[in-house]
Amino acid sequence: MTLCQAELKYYLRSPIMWLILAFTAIISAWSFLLSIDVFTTLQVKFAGMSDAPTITQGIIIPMLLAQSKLIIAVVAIIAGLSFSRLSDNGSWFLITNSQLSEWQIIYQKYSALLLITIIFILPTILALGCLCLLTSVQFVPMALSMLGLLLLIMWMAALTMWISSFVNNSGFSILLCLFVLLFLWVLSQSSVESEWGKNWLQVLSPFYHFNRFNSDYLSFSSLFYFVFGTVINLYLIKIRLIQKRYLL
Amino acid sequence: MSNINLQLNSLNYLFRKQKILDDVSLSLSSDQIVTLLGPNGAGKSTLLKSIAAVLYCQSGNIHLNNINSNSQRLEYLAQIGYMPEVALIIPELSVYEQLRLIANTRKITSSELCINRVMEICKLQNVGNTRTNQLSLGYRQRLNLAQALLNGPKLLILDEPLNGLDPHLIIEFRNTLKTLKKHTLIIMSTHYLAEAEIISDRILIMQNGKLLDNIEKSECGDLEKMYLHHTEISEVD
Repeated sequence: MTLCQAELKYYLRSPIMWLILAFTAIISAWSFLLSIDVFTTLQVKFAGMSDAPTITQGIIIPMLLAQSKLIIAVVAIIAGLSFSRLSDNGSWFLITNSQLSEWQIIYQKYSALLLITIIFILPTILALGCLCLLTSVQFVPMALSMLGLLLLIMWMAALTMWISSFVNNSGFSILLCLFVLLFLWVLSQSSVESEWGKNWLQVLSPFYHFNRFNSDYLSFSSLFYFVFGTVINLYLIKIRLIQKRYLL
Repeated sequence: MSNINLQLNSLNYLFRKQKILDDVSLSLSSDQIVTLLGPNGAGKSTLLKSIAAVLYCQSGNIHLNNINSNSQRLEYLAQIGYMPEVALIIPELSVYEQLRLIANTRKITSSELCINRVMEICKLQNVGNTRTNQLSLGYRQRLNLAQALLNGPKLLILDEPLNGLDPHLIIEFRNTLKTLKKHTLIIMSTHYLAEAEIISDRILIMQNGKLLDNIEKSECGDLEKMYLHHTEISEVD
């Protein structure tokens, strides 16, 4: 059994995970049905418009935007538990005295975390898959938006995993991760273009960069932000593990 | 008989400006059971954690067969087994799964063979599929020992292994250790003087982070008297 399998077992055997999964699936399904309902009702008005929103603009992208907000809580809970629960049950020893390298430990824990998080967005992916089969959608914007969501999850998971490696109490770790992610989300909501120019603080927020993926073209600066940010966060976890293993 | 040599040189450990280990030097060799005695807060667990490389040596060094615990940590870890005071229990896993996980993190080749061997030594076969959080204290200690034995260590470090065990289990445990000592150097800490007297080949006494005595059991006479003598003198000092 690998560390990754053990992590998956921990999450999948936890009743609270299934409860959260059911809760997020209900919200996703309800928002999907609601958006289809609204879009169908507005079809009559759209008929006379030259630039009427397409299904991608009217249903798919708003759904993925809603998913990005929902996933904040999911990532905060899952990644917040990642290392902090080891302090709770005294199993840091398993990590500090293992023969695995820091990167192997991070890779196994991180991949388990991503796999679990993807289960949470599976209902949305299935719903979008149904839409693709039943209607004609613009594939490129949809694929870009989904790539953006995946990168956002990767970025947030790496950051919150790092946070959880510092906290000894899993409840506090979840709250701290939630607070940090909500702060980053609020940061992206500040006014975009004021008369004094752009608010540059916004570019620190991953949600700002995720929004830039919801268009027809790939933003390379945002892609770089996500990839570089994820690597940096994972590297910080490595430093923390070295600290735990060799210095404490 | 295997050739094992453990060397501790001027080991010091400070925690919040308090000396937990104070210039501990020690040399142990060959296959024997060494018991570490001392009152609460003497530094026994810290010393064992340092030997087990759970704690980093702040000053001084530890060598096992010339392998340094700090600079050659992974090589060092491959040679030792450590049983912590509180058993490592991963509640979502069964006994067998937990042993497989430990084997994986320690990169043990032919892990199935090793797991079966330690399950047999520690008599865990009938609880292999039981979730670890459902185990009794006795079985938890057995699992704790099984984890330490997985890599077939040359040095086995046991921190208060007898805590919470009933007399039957203590006898079983003693017999297991006697079998293991044939090819392993065993260092254990305990508060049970009577058990230390029966099981040990060598006695170490600690107080206030200092190693007060290091003596062969055959030379120490009445262990209880010697222990009280040492710790009371140290108290007066």
